[in-house]
Amino acid sequence: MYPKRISLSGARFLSAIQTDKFKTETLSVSIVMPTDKKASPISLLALSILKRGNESYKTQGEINLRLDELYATSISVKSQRLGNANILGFSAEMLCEEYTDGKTDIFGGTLEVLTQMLYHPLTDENGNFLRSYIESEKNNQCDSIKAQINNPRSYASKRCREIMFEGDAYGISLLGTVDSVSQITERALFESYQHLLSDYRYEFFYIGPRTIEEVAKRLSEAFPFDGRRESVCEVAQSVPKKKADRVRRVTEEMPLAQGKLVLGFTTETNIKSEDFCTMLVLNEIYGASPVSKLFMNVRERLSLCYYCSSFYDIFKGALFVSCGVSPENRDKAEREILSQLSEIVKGNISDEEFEAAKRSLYNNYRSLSDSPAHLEGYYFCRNEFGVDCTIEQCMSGIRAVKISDVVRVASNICLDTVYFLNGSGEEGEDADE
Amino acid sequence: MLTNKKESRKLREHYYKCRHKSGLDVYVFPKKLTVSYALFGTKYGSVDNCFRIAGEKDFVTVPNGIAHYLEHRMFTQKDGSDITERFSEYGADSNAYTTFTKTVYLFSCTENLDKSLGALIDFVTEPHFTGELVDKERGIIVEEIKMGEDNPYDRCFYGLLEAMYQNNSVRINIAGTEESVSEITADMLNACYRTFYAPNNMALVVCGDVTPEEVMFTVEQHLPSDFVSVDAERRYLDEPREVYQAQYEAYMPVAKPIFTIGVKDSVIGNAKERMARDAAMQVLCEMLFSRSGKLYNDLFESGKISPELSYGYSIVEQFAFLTIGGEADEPTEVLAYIQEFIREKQKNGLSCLDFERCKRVMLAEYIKDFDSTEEIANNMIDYIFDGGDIFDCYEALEGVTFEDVERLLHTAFDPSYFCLSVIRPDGQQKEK
Repeated sequence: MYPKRISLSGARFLSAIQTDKFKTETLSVSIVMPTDKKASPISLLALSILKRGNESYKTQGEINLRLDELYATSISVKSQRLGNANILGFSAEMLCEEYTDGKTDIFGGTLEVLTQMLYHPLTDENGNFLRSYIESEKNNQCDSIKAQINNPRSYASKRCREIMFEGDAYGISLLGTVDSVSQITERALFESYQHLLSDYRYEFFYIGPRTIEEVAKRLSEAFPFDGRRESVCEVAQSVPKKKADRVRRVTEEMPLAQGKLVLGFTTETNIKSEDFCTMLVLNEIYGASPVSKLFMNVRERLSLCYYCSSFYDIFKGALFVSCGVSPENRDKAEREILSQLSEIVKGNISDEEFEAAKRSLYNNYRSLSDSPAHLEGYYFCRNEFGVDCTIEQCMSGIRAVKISDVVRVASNICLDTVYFLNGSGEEGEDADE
Repeated sequence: MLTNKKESRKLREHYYKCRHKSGLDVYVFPKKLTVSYALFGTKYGSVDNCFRIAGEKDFVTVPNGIAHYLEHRMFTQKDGSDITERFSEYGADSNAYTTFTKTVYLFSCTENLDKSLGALIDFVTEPHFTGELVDKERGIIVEEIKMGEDNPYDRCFYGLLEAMYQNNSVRINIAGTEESVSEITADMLNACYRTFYAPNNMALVVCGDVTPEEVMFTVEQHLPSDFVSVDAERRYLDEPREVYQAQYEAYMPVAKPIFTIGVKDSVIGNAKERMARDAAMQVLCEMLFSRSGKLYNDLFESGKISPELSYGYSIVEQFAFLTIGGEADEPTEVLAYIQEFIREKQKNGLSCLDFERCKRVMLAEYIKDFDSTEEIANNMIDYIFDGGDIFDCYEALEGVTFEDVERLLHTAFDPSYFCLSVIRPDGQQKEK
């Protein structure tokens, strides 16, 4: 299953995979823009307001009632980081009409709701969004910012990323800060919305039983594509971070039962690099698979933690290891995490480990085709990065990786930042190494 | 071998139920997707902590968290290796989970289904518990418990159950506590295993591009001959209908109070009646709490709650409750608002139009669950262990009448069934 991609009009594109594999069909619209410290949180706020009401459906309740009538169609806000780019938009999931009474045009109805949301928001006499919706969504966005501490594990990962990529778009929060969001003006917000409509590239993605021609026709009929300024915005270049000359260590405090340790590494390899597939295999051996070195040693052999795993951001080329560990075992865990990386650098990789890593990746990649969201995720981002590679081609790339490649690439991996969210202890910036 | 085919025309799906001679029921749900998903589960969870094998003199009570501990320990093989390595050799991804009422071992794969299925059957039927290995696991489990303690949403949920239930073991964390797991020994694990890991208490579910013949061939090859049924007797303490305590409160590093409202429901012995109540309650919840409804939108538009408000109903043999969870500055006010809203509905009645709409929504959501082998297999085992059936659930939903939900509305929401659990920000404690 491979998408076709066509131009609809100017900077509006449609990718579609025609399949009757699923009982649902999905349609998303993604607006592609660079991550910007000031603009990104405003754009997100504008999008949230669009979900609150429009000329046809004045409130969120009315929108939801309409979606219920369309056999529980769901429309969710899309806000995603793709390397240094920020993807905003809406995703809709609809029940295929063969499972309904046949009297409801679910697809057409969903398009109508989407266009209402995007192009016909409620405005006041000055041409701004309704003040009540602005205030309410500002509060919600501020709440989301504050609520990041509610999940200490993901909060620790976020803090490590921010510290490691200070000064880089990748380190910016898409939500903004409580102060910056509170200060967004009505005018700035509406202007941001107008930029969303005209300044950026739109990527539609459809998966379902319809042909791309039919979807293109229905989209062109429903969306007012003409008469808009069409300036294509390039996806911000996501250049991997270079090796740091010193390791940055930060410990922060929170009253927790367990400390959360996150190590950030530079790899100098991302989805566009020649060594990309090697890096995928390496990550699997190191900490991503259920039989990885980190799992087998930090957890199983030393019983230091419940979770210890690695995450490789394929767009930014950064590698993170995350581990929940009691404060008294923190040093021991860190030593073991680093020592397992040294094992890879030294070439201590068994054939079994190596093959297991590849099989695990094949399994993951093959599995993508069972989920519309994963299929879209795979092809959408490859299109953004200009990587023309089907799932099958990606698997061939993995198949061709040799142990010697993994060892070579491992030597480029360099510890950059060590972040520890401590359950009890001293807070502050530790001495750098 | 008895094989039954069951079909749903509405869903355009079917499955087979095969009874193996050992007494094990094997369910095969053919589905032309890339991923195959298999589950081998036992109807034995954290609430089953007092039991005996029929004929034995005394009931034994085991430490809390033992079902989960046992699940962790199953992965080690006699030769000291971890079964995960064998799955990974076949390219499969294996895992396990323990709930209040069941323990499930599983894998997903895109190749070598027969080999992985063999491995699944092998390791679940060949336990290997030694004192040393049991001790070694403790550190990992204690870290898992601590991780849960740092999760305010988990704490809020468990706090609710602790307050709502007086005697039922559902009030105790599935993983137990640091103290309770320190008492667990290899002998105890063996006793639990002997009692509950038997064909008449287990089920095997396979969903994927596979036939019942292929599955049963592998089952036949791998099920050991000493895998025989056991007549287990469980003992549960009586539980009052009303909530034990109306409130639970704790302080954690959270931004805004996190709350879960619980409504304790009556226990129903008959599986068919349970399914009917489940269906009616699903529709009623959708009518009362969904994002299209007045209650949610009033609370949301007035800023009384954060946008995310979740709700769900669980009903099994041993317990039943409804939960409504979210974040709010004043959870007590939210509770009062919800209770008042329900009182108003009890007085003035529900709307027939709302009923039809919500029923349609629930049916559509149900159909959407059949797009994933993982979803299908996990839902199936839930129904199987509760004496139900995945397709009957559709009929149960279709069969819900307006009178059913009205009756529920009038009987299920007595103030004495309500409980509120709140995790408040640390700072609020200092202010008090």
